[in-house]
Amino acid sequence: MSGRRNWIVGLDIGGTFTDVFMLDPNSGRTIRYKSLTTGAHPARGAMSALMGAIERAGASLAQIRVVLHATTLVANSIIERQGAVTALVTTSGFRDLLTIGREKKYDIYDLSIEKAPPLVPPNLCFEVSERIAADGRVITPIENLSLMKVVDDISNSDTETVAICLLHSYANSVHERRVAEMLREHLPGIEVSVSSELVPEMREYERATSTTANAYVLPMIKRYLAELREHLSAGDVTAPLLIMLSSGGVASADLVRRFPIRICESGPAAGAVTASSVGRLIDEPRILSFDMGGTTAKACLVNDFAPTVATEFEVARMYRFKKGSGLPLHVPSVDLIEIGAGGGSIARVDKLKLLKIGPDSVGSEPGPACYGRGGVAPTVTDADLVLGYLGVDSFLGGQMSLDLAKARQAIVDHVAKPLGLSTVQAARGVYDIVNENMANAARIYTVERGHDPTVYTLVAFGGAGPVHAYGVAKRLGIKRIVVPQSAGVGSALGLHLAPRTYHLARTYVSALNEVDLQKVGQIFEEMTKEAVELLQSVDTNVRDITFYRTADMRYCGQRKEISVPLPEYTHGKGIEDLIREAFEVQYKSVYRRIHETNEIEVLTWRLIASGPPIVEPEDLPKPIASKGSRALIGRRPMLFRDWEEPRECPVYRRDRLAPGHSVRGPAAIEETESTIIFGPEARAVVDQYGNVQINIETKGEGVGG
Amino acid sequence: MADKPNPLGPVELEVCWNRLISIANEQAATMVNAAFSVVLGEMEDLSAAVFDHEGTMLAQSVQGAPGHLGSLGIGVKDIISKFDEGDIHPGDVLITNDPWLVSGHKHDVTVVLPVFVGGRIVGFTASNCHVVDIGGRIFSAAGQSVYEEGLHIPVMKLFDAGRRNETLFDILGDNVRSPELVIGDLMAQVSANQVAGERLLTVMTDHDLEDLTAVSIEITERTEIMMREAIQAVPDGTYKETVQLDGFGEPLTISTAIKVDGTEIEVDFEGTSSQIGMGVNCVLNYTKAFVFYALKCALSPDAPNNDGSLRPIKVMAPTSSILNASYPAPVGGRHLVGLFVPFAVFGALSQVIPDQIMAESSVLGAVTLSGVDERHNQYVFTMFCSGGMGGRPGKDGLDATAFPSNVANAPVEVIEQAAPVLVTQRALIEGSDGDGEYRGGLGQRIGLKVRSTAPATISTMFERAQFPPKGLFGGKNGSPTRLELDGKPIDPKQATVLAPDSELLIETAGGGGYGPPKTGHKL
Repeated sequence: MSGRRNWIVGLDIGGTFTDVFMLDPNSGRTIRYKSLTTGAHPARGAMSALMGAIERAGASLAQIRVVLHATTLVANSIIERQGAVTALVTTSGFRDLLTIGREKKYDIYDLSIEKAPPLVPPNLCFEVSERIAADGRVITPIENLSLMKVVDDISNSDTETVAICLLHSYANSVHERRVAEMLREHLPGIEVSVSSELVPEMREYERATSTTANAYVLPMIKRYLAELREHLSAGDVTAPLLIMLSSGGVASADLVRRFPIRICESGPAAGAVTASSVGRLIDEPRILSFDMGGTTAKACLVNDFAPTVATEFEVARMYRFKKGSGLPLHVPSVDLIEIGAGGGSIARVDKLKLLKIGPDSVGSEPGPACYGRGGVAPTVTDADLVLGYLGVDSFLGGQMSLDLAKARQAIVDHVAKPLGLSTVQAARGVYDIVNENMANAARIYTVERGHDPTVYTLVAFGGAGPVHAYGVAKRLGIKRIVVPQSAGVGSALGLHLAPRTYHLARTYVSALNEVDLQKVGQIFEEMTKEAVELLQSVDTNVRDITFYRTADMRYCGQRKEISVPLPEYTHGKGIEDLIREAFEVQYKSVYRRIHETNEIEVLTWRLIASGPPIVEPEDLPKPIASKGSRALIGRRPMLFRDWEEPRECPVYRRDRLAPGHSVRGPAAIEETESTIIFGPEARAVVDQYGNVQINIETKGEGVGG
Repeated sequence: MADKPNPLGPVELEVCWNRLISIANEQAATMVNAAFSVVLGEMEDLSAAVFDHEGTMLAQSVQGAPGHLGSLGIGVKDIISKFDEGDIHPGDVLITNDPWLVSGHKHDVTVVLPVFVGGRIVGFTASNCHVVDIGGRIFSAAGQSVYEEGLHIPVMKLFDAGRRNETLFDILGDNVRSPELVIGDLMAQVSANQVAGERLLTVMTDHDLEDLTAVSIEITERTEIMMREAIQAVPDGTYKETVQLDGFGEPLTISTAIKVDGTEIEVDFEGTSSQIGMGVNCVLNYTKAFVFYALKCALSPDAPNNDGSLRPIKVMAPTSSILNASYPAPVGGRHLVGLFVPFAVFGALSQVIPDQIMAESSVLGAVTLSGVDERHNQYVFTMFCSGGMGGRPGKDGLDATAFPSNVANAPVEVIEQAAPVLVTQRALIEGSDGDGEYRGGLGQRIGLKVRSTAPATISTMFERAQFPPKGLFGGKNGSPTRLELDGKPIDPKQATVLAPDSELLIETAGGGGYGPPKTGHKL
């Protein structure tokens, strides 16, 4: 029925593809749509993907109930250094703080390491004469003359956006607010990001980096959201726009407009939500999420059905993807690893005659050679096509046909000839090495967190995820792969499954035995009110909200805090004892022993308010396989294991495989947005939720496809 | 060879090996997170490693300082050898700060934890950390003998079958200036070793290992082969270099002859200055640590680091020299000499592998402040200061980055919260870099004031005032270290007083350039 606002839309814009997953909860209908990302006009691209999906549904834009959105715009803009011209205002004497950084080397043996270049050039780092002490007292009041000079200097430069980070502003933000006021008053066209609003935490380098990153992407995101809203309104969409945060929750566009850096990892976070939901469905508490798109691959550990949210992460690692070579951001984010390996990653032979893949990618323009859009560089997708893993006519459900001859040519010219290999063996080399790169990064990430990858189930999605999952799983020693329904648009699906969550925090430093409980009560009351308002604005019923309270605590004089779950807060006597007990339990579990005589202090009080997801995973429509129609749709030559030449292997259509159906490898199972590939040692079974579960039966000797 | 066949396939071995490395990394991270002092919690002057039952190092943390990492790898064997068989029990924690056993000065405390399976020792986890105070003089090079340099903790038990050695805790608490920081950090080490020990047991259970013998042999032999292959790629011959440093009044000399012979390397420091009566002498373990480090950087940076990578390397230094000090020589500021060892190694190797080494760098300096704050509490605070790294083949040197040390700086906000000081500036020094095809990194200027009505005792420990970082292959030298007190130059190695209104200004050296400057090149 037209006019009914019944469609919930998940829209995920990646580096190469834009994915849509739409659901009508009343009828149970779902629509998937995938198109190439348009780099130059992201809002227009978003809109055209949305229209494409709506058209496929035979619906109209006015029938959209809510738009859930994830985008890689922020991360890409930082990785590619495409953000706005950004200035930094800091305390006099410290204008080099971004370049000096923390001085530490992330690899002590490699003499060639490089440090991430700051987002602000040295000539746009300005100093204001002012000084605040560690306890928040003003040592030197802000000097108006120096402030006016900074305003002048900024106005005489081509600065578009300013980050303000003054020393000790987390303890007293009065000077930062004054600078912001002046800038806004005199330079109304310039955006201002204030460190004490974004990350009121000690450690000036990390705070300044986070704030400059926020400033750097702010004009672009603001423009993008305004344009998107405009397009939506023009199409009669009055539905709310909710955006995925890096932490895995969703928030209103208003919040994102102020703190765009919080959506830096929104797409990967949505993917982690998808993997968590799959884990819940199949009751598997140990999931390794594997999301491979056109530009990057992401891996995320999901233990006990939820990804870990870290308080800091690193963006844009620039030296061999090494930990420490990127920019530290102190904003909450799902703890995941992103690797420069995707379908568009470029293969090349280096000076040492070694085959290298990525991390650079052809993106959607011109795209892999096989797209026939002018690309000549051999990519992972070209290799996948040569190996028979992709069908020439089935890519994107036939929306786009792939040019096998161009793919072969690119592989021959740039890989096979320089290495003296046959075309298929060269393509296999590309497939193997990109898999090894991903498996290696995932392995290090997993073991760094103290886990053994071999006991995990790999949940694979993203356009290229199901194509490469088999090779990656074998390298990791993983025995089970699960490819969820709609895997090709997996992160867009995750947007529906994400809880509506807000993380709020207030700093009130006090020794535990001197804590003013009334004040704490007031803090939580305020945060609760704020959270309820925010959640109501995104269509959540107050009764469905759950609250989780924690505090950052440590022993007095200790450097770092631990997060302590607080008891249900009550205005009662003995509450300090309960908090102390909770701290000691937590401290002991992290550090094995407590300091019995030391005082304890509380620094930050936190509230996590969570409403239910828009859709519960159990409520996703179950697959209805069209009975009678043959699932086996043909055969094509593919290369697996140590085969010299490709052999004919069966190709199935996923939507014709009913629950319980089992397929022995080697085979390809095609769906519109992706293809599931598995080799001779594997058997795939469709479970009751429509997931394709692949069990790898033997420990592979020879790695590779 | 192992008595038993290797129980692990190649893939499983790799997983197991990676897990051992991540255990050491988690151990280091736990120490940092549980730390009380700024030196450990922010600057990360530490090392952490996992050992087999004989004290053979299997894996070490990525995080850490080379002088610590290398000497810990050698020292654990000697520490455990002080105990008779059967004298180490579950729940024991061993401790020492004997400079001659591990990393060369009393400020570095080593904690070793035995890991048991069924009453049998299967391995050890060990860590080493620079404590903020150890009694005696504050952290300085001014001691005339090791007796002046603070409390000596011989190898003993900090915990005996799980029971705290209260006597040692009391002695320690009464001898150091900030007992809550020192004991807090010590307990962070114990926590970290314990977490790592538990992880080690999990790995053994997961991989069905009764002991670590076979894994140890696989890991060290494979690494040894990698190192030997890297050495073999260097043309045979003997390569010599002499490096001079400020010392005290008289310059000191490090002479080295590196003999490359097939798959082995012998590094001999014959001709190096005799030990002196100031606290800059290095024990042989510490010298070795920096030789191993420099050779690994130059020859095999990607190879894992464990006992195997040390085996093809032999290090010799004349007895009672500044690189092989005899008891009771003062050693408090031994890094002021030890940090130059890699430059001697690189200088010698520059003759054969010019693309694998770099020009000279500034070396890490330190300033320690001690006094009473406004509330009459005693404080002691150490801050490390980095200068520019040398120019590298194909790349400029890094600005304000320590080499060969590896410590982070303390954020200004952390410094001012931890001690009553005001940092007046921290800025790069334009023009301090040595010019060259690839320029050195910039040094930095740091200003410090006391925020207390009482003056502070300060100890400064800086090198590179007379001998700035040398350029290589025609590259220019970096600028020298300079220290000023209220605008007047002062000796960079001394103990003095910082009055409440005075300002100490530190200028660290810039790195040397690599290759001749481009003509007409001026930035």
